[in-house]
Amino acid sequence: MNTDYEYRRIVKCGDLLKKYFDGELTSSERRELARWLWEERRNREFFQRLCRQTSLKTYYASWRKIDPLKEYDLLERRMIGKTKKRRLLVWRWAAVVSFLFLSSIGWYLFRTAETETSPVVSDRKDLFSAVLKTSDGKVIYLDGNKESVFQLESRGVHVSDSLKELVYQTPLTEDSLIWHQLDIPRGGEYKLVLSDGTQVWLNSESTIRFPVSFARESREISVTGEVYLEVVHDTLRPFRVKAGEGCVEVLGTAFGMTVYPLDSIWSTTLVQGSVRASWGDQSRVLMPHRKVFVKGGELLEKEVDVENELGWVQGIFVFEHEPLEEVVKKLERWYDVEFRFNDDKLRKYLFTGKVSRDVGIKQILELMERMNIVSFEQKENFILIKEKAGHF
Amino acid sequence: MEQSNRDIRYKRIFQAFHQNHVRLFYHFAARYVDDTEVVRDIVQDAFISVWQRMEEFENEEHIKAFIYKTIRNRSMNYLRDKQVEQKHREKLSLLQHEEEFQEHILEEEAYDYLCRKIEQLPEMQKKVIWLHVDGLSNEEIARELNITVNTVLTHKQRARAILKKYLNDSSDILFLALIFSI
Repeated sequence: MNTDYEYRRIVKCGDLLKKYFDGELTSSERRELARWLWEERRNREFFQRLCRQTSLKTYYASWRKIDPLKEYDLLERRMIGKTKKRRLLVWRWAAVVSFLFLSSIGWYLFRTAETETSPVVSDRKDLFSAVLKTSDGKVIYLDGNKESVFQLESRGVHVSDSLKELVYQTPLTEDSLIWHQLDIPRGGEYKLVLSDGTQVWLNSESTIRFPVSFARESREISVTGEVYLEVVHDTLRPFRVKAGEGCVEVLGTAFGMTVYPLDSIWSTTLVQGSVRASWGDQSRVLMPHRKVFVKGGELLEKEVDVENELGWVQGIFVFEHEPLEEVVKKLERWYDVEFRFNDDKLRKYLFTGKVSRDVGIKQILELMERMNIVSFEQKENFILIKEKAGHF
Repeated sequence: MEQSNRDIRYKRIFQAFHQNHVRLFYHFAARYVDDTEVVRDIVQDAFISVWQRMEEFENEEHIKAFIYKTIRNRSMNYLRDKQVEQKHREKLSLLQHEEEFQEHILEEEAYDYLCRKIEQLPEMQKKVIWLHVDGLSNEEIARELNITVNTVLTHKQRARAILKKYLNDSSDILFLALIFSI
């Protein structure tokens, strides 16, 4: 009994019971439950007792009084308290390292070994992580609350309760396509599984328009913002991504795209497989570990480190000789804040560094301040970037 | 890279799992430990242990099994120190008894499941049920919510019908008794 196996078996039985109540048992699960019931008379008696229970009323009354949000808050406070000492040490280490690299323009945040880190409370506003617009004009805020989950489940969309994730499991349709649109606001991040099994990761401030289920002969979606796709291979149905003035066509592959029409940014980075990227009347067939991008109206190509390019999928910011204005743009999207420069020459200042996106913005800014020539000042509704006094 | 990946993905799973199951585990621990602060400690400890070994778990089932085991061990430790009192001795023996313990888990899971279903009811029906479980009579509920007694009855009836629908296929007469206690 004291083995993990036994505990897991009990939990499994609990699951079977729940499915039984729901009328969702598959025939093999029904057999399994029946086997458990027949195994021992005791189990059958228990089951009947459970069915006859009348104390749900008192149970529910006290169950309802527990506030999960408050409990999580308390738990988090305790977890942070527990590891406070260690984190202070880490910061001191980071400071020492920064001293060593003083002449370089990079800033790094070093993390402790896996088992020792505590989750960091992020100061991001996280009210809802996405907004879904359906073909009939309905707008559903995906904030993890039960109401929105309920609305979606009744439309054949599965919402995973453990991840911020939507899974479309709709059958192939002969009729005209039903389009949904998912908007990820600033500070949000979402994962979507399309009806063909293709997985899409969406970064903050991104939008995807996709059919609830794909047509027989082709698969087509459109995106803006920053996305990463792992397309399920299907030779009969090419997968086409429309993005602003460009288009990427694939059979089955993994690649990331950055499409910000307002900033004239358009790029596609291939992880594996092959894609054809077109922009206007230019087009290129891309090999893995290469990035195609638009510069000055031309479609160019270069070799890249895909892990860095697509760091956001892994939950990290990666900056490589990136101008400060680009760096803060990324911070703006993720933390939903606004930066302003008090001196335009700071915009082109180059940054290099890697940092977890789970770290709060205050900590990131502190680190940047400590290792660079800029300082940040929190104003009422924006953050002002200034040259550090006495730097030159 | 690995590190940050772990942080962001696991944190989400962990938090969602906590939100979904914290009430279940509180109730479970409260079966054996009567001091609510100790219950909170025990449950928090169990969740912290989960966080420290997130990568070891294969699925939710696995995490649950681990938490049940942890809560059991911690509760037993707590009760052992308090053995002088009769009630603590009794609870300790419940925990040590394998079959009893197994049934407790199943019972908690079933109750928790039904409570979640109640929470999903439409707003007004839920309010009526809340007041009902707080022990108010139909008349008192009507006054509290500023509706007629008949409306209270309609809401109760609808809630019952919805909860019954959740159990559609099971059509178990015995099980309905549970619902009608509301």
